[in-house]
Amino acid sequence: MTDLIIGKNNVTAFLREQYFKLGKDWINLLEIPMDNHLEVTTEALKILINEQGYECVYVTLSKPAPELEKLFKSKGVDTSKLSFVDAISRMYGVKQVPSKKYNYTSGPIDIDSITIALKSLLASLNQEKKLIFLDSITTVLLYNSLPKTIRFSQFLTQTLKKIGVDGVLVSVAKGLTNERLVQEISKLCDKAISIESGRRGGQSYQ
Amino acid sequence: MAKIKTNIPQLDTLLGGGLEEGSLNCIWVQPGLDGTPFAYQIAFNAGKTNKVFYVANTKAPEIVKEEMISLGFEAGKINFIDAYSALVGAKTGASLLIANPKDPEEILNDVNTIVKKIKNHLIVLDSYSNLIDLAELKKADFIRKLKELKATAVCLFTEWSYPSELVKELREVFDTIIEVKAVEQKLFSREFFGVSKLGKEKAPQQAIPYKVIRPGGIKIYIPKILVTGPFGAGKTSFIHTASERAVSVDRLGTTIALDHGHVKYKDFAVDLFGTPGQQRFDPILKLLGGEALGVVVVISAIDPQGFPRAIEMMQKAKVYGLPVVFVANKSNLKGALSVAQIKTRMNLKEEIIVPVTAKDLTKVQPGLPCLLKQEDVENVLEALFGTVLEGNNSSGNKK
Repeated sequence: MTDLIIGKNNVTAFLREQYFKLGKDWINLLEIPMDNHLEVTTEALKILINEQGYECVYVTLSKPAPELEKLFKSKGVDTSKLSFVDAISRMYGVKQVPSKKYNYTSGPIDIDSITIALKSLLASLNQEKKLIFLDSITTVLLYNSLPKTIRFSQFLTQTLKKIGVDGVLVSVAKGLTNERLVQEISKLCDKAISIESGRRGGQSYQ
Repeated sequence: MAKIKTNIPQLDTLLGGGLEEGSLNCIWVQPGLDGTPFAYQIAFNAGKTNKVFYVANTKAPEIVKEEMISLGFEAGKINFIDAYSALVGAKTGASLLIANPKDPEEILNDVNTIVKKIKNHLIVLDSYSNLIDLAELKKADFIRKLKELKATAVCLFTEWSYPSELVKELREVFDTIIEVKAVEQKLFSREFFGVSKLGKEKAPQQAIPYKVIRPGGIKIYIPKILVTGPFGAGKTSFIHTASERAVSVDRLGTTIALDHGHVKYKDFAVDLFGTPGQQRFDPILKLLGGEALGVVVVISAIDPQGFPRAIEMMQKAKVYGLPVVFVANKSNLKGALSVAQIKTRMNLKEEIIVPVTAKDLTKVQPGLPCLLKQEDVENVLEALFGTVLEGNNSSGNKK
């Protein structure tokens, strides 16, 4: 597998270094340019699941879970360690594929059902290293008000800390996502990793 | 005032018979828990006597119907007010549509029409917390206006991190508050409901453990009852008679590891865990007693020498102080002690002792488990569930 290069920079190497440094018990805000959204999330998943041994619950708010699983598999992600909370298919009437790996919720407005589905799937994971990958906080905001999105993020991060599960909260379209949301979520996270679409490969800040 | 039955086990008792007509009721849910089964079950059962209007603003009415059906509740008699589709630009099949779900006045107008036309109504709002978010409500004025309209309503409310003044105001303005809470244990949680506010009356201080069964709805769920007692007292016989399915790890007829049974009785679902009686297994008693919500101690009424051992086993299992029922097995045999004699011998005070006997004495073989009389076992279960529910709030007093 070749590394992901954006501009002149090796994003794979950058992410690998950042996630290696994080160690244990962390929540990370991952800021991704819109054009490279799926490429970067795939690289992050490969590093976290394939290399670091995480078992992951991926919350999708934009693409149906079966479609995403197929895509990730084709890109080399170990999907045997991946299960999904699909918060988009039912809302748009997309056919639900029955599987223990997919937990369908009614839609992104119903954040109660997203948290319930997350807890249920997390309880079924067996590996010691567990991860929530929320893709994306930007989409939560698209369907919900800013205060509601912040409340949801606060609850999610507090819960993950309490139960010892690591988390990646993805923010897409840097510069377009509400700045206050990014600021508030940054406060809740141990580290923010930002992938630039331009000349710089990325930056991280505590 | 007439009452609307919820048919949620124990809830009608806690509510003094059901939801009062003309009252504003809140299902107050801790984030991460699902309050919708309560709303669905109430809507379904109220639909038998009242005209129910279900205001859905977090999901499409079709999804609410699907979820109700998965719990075993037909939604045919429920009228849906769609306060969702306009939010996401979706088409709707609902005859009642809220054009602007962010406008609480539009919902209030519909409520006003319903209240004026239909005396026996129930409005279910799923969810009020989402309305707070959508309309960015800072005060409880919406609920006050529902009160002015004299509506009978049930509002689902998830207590996200709202400003404390709003939360305080809401606790004051609702007539009745049904709390849905959990005791978190890492990734697992034990869920309870109770009534924390009941109009002007004193709310019953009781937390009911529950589980949502699909289909079936909300059932009282007691995840672990420990069945302990001396060797040969009849623990396995009790578990097998009480359970719809049970397994025993045994050798030559006597239990050498543990018994496990699952009981479904009336509104209760319970898992029974039996301990082996031999002393060599004492080191695992503490492990088996962990997280138990109640205890059944099986003793033989013809063997008082085993009584100290029963007390010792309770101490070793660290279940002393939990709700307990003593089962006096073999009570019809010659030489059996009476309940009063057992109490004296065991130095018991308020504890309940239920005498039980074998179903058919001619089929009893020494040293082997047998079936007990069903009515005796049901007496034990009745006593047990009563003491567990009564003592649930003091279950933290485990010694």
